[in-house]
Amino acid sequence: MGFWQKLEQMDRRWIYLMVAIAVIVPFIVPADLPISITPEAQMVFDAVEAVPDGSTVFVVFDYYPSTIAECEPMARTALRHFFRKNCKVITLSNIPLGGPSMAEAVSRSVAEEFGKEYGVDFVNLGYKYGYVAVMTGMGTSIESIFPTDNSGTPLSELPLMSKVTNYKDISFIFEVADNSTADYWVSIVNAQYGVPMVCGTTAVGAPKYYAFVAARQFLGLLGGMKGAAEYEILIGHKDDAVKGMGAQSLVHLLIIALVILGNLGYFLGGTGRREKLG
Amino acid sequence: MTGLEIFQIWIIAFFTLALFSFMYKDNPLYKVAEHIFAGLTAGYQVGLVWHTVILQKLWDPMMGGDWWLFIPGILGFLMFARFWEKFSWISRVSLAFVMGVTAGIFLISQLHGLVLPQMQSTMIAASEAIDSSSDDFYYNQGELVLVDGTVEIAESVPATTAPADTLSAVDSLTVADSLADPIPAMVEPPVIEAFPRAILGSTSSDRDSVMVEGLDEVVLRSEFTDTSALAFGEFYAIKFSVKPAEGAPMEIVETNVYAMNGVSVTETAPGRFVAEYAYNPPDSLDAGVYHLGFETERRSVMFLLTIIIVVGVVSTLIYFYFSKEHTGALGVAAKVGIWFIMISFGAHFGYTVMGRVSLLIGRVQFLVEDWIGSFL
Repeated sequence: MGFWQKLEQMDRRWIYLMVAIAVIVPFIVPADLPISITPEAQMVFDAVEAVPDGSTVFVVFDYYPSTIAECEPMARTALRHFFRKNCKVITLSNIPLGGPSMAEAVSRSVAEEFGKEYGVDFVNLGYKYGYVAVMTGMGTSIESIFPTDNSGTPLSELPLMSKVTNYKDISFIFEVADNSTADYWVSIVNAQYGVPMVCGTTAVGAPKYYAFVAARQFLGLLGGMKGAAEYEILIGHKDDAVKGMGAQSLVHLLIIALVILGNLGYFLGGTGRREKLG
Repeated sequence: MTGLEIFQIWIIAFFTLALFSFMYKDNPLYKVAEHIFAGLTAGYQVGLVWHTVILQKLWDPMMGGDWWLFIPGILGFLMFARFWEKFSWISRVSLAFVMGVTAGIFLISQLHGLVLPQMQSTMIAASEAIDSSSDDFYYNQGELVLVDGTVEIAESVPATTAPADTLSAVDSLTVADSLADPIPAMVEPPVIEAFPRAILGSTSSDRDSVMVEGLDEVVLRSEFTDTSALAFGEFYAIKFSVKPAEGAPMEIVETNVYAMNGVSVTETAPGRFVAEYAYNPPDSLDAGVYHLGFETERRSVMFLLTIIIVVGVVSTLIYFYFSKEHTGALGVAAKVGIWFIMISFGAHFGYTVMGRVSLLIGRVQFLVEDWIGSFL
């Protein structure tokens, strides 16, 4: 059996092993590879920079725990960016599984870095079922949808929420999503209430949302871990996403090599030649 | 690190490795992890909805006096009729309500928020400003005095705050002021580091005075900086204009994607540009004070992209048009459509690979840094 035939019949678990090694090695021996800034990430940074200092903003945790690696660095960086500008941050989630608790944990840990006080500088509204009804209802009254925050404290007892009635009091929305809730933030909130927004999404979802950037419905877009890493670089606080990019690049190189090898094997040694011979 | 935190890390590590073990082959550990995950998910969701919806949004308000909430409560309860075949038709009442409300909300939001803006962006102009924020587009003014057939142009100072998207932002200057003050020296355009793309500039002329009526000309010179290099398809749109002290601005010249219209732009140093235009003041200018305006905007050529987008949209729609056989011109268009679809699939596949690898990286990062780190 020749090399190409052996390659064709290789157990796929060897590929899993190669990918595992390619992911683990950069964490043991860090590779400081350059990360270029895409225009969409720059637009996110510029859009947040343009938000007046001290404004009240939404940071929306619309992602499941399964995509923490991509989405949490974006949310964390967005919070750092807003707290740096002394913005008042309201977090919420349309994801029942983990959304509100991730919003609570992330916002509290970042707020601690900046010495921000819960209820005064930031509030976590938590989760309510039915995102279309939630988004539509908040246009009239946020308190009618979220009578209490995530911990059960009535909004009337939180100083920050006494100044916020509905979308008129929200200057900006930073949506972090791994699903199509971003579509509804655009079509319900951005289009009907005119609240400017940007989106950070998983790599799987990013291609779809480039059309929203082109139409200026999103003022910027972060796509996957790469987008998160770019945003971390732009605000000058390198964190988990930048750390992960070494492994990402190495695995991509491995996959490219495997695609080339697989095609060479197909045409030079195995299936392709047999199909040609009939 | 507390004992509880270490215990949590070990639990997470155990389930992560148990699920990864499926890559070798199916095994009992994987099954255990899978079933615990499914059970936890269902339990968590039921508990969450019970507390945040049933209690907080229905039961508590009803007990507080909002008795009318029993109507949606009953509608919700009727949904359970689907579990009994004999009474399942009753659930259609609730479903009809949900469908009516959903259609009403979605009709407007989808049309207004998705269909129309997306169609509009398909029919985009030949070029567009890359960034419509005022940081990209600064205004600069000098002044121009017409006295007895002579035009005097005073150098300007950089305007660092006024957005340039409106000529009405020109400050008012008087003849007396301009003649009393010495002409300021050329100032190096400042660069705002916080905005890497900021375009700032200053305007000047090569002479202090010039004869009108086309017999003589003055070279209007504007220097501007832009700290990021032009990408493919990008260009600077430059406009020189004058505005009488009283009245609307009058455009002298404007460059665009098709023609420079006599305006030359040279890069004198990295990120530092000079735009020049030889200006002959026309006879139509009356004696008086004029403000000299200069605008520069970084734009991106969209003409070619617009053609690609329109061809892509139309040919893809033709590919999905099945009421006529795809032969002849229709067949060619459908073939073009399938190419666009394939390119789109390629982009999606590339991004999907990146996404899946990111998830693996997240887990490995946890195992290496948090789990192994906890006992090293």
